[in-house]
Amino acid sequence: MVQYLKPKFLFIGLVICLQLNLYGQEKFTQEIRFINHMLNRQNFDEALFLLENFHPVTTDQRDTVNYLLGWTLYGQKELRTSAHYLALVSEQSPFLEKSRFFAAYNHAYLRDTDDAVTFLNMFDSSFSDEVFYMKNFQLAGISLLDRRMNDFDALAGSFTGTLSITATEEQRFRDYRQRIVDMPRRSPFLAGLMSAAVPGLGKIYAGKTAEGISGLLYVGAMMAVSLDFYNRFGGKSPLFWISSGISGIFYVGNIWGSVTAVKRVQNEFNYEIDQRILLDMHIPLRKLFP
Amino acid sequence: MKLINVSYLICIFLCGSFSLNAGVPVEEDSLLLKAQDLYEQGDYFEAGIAFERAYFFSSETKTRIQANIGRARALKQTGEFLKARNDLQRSLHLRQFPDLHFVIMYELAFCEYMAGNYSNSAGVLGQIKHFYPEKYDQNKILRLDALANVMSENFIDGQERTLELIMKIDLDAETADSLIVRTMQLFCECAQPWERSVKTASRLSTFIPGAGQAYAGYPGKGLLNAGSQLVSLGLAAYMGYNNLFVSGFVIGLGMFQSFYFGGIRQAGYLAEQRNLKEMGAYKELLKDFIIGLDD
Repeated sequence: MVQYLKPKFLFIGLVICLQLNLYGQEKFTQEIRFINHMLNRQNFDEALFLLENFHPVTTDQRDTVNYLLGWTLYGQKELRTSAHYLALVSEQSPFLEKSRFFAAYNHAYLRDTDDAVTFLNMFDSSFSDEVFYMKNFQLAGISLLDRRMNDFDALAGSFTGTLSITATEEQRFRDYRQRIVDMPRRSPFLAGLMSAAVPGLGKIYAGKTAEGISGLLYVGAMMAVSLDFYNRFGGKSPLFWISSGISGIFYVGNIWGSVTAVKRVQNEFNYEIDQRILLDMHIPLRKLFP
Repeated sequence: MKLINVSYLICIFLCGSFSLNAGVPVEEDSLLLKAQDLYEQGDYFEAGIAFERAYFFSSETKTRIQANIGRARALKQTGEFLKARNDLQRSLHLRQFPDLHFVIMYELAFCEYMAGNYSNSAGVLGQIKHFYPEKYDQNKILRLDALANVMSENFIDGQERTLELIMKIDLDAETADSLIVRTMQLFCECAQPWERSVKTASRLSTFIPGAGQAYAGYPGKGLLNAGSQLVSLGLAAYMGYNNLFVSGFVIGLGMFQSFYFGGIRQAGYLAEQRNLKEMGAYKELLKDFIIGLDD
């Protein structure tokens, strides 16, 4: 009798476990549907609250929660935290490719380019051609951000222009490379020297023509006033000394302004080109992973 | 025997599996009740989520509208009026439950008002008047309509709604009369601030230094500006008289042009600021009066 009952109880136990598992899966799917609904309605704070208070049981569930957390934080521009959660998505997850690419992008945006390269290098030839091509494209973008032109040239060698999602951006990358190379390397010292000779000339050399002309007028006007006082009251007049002092401050300030103008122009150029590169790295990613 | 047992177990398995889905409608009500509990406990953030959950998982239109209203009320408590407005709009087209539709419209008008969209609020209240004329005649709606009209500077309608509200409130004849007189005084065109023209202020300062500032209601600033221009011109003339032509030109005339053109810009800016300030104060006065009309 006992022998006859044992398999029966085992079977009933199995059925109960299966039911519970099904129930758990159903609850999880429902919750994820709801969280996705919250995200679609741009209720990011509430979606984050739900995700942070969610206790996944299986690896699949953990992957889904980590992916959604990363994606939500990415939408909120919390890039470092987003990269952290996206990196937690396991290799078995269907979200792996998207998670890794966006984790890499987040790091690139934050200029942690070494971490970005590490994430991208996990894509080997076992992945699809499209993914492998995207890895190459992203690496090329990162080398441009790092101004590693030789590395960029090596990676750009495999640009075919045939993949529609990257074709336009590949051409733009080449243009950016040319612009970076063509960007004149101006000397701050020379700019200062030029402004010492002719006030404002250093700023014109740095590329800030309007500022240069305005500087010339200010310093010139103050010097003219000093000269006027000198001619009228002589070299010992306090008015002459005050106006000369002010002219001196304007003159030295103009020289210093010319030195910093060179750095300012360089920073403005770098910022603009970096933003363009990052945008062109981002567009194909969103096309590949809508 | 064994075959029968197995058949039973398969039946139990199938029944159990289908009951997972069959149990959902039962959960719908419990979701709404849970959300209401959270709201009553004052946990508005979680209540908002719970109401949205009830809205999302419900297949019943009525439950969805109720959940949507609940969510809007929870969001109102956390000050997220725009979000509440956006969520309420999802149920605006559902008119099969007039009582709920009316509540949706009222909440929408309220959220629009609180979000600073006064014209939209007045527009929604106009729809309430059209769809539910019998329900429009309520103190809270008349009050909101009066406020929305006042804030969107539609003072004629604002006055009309305020008078309707006074008539609706249970007051003795003497108090009602005094409130009506006060309303007429407050909404009278003579009580409204006159709008200063920015262009006129700038033009005045172009030809008579300081006059634009005085026109804008800041005579002190006008005097200061005119004085500065006079001093800088005097300085230029004095330097020229002493053969300091370059210094007179650079210092005297340089300062003069700054004060002159700055004065023109300042006059326009001051006129604009004065308009905003006076209109804001007038609207606040009317708002306080309307809110102060107790039920």
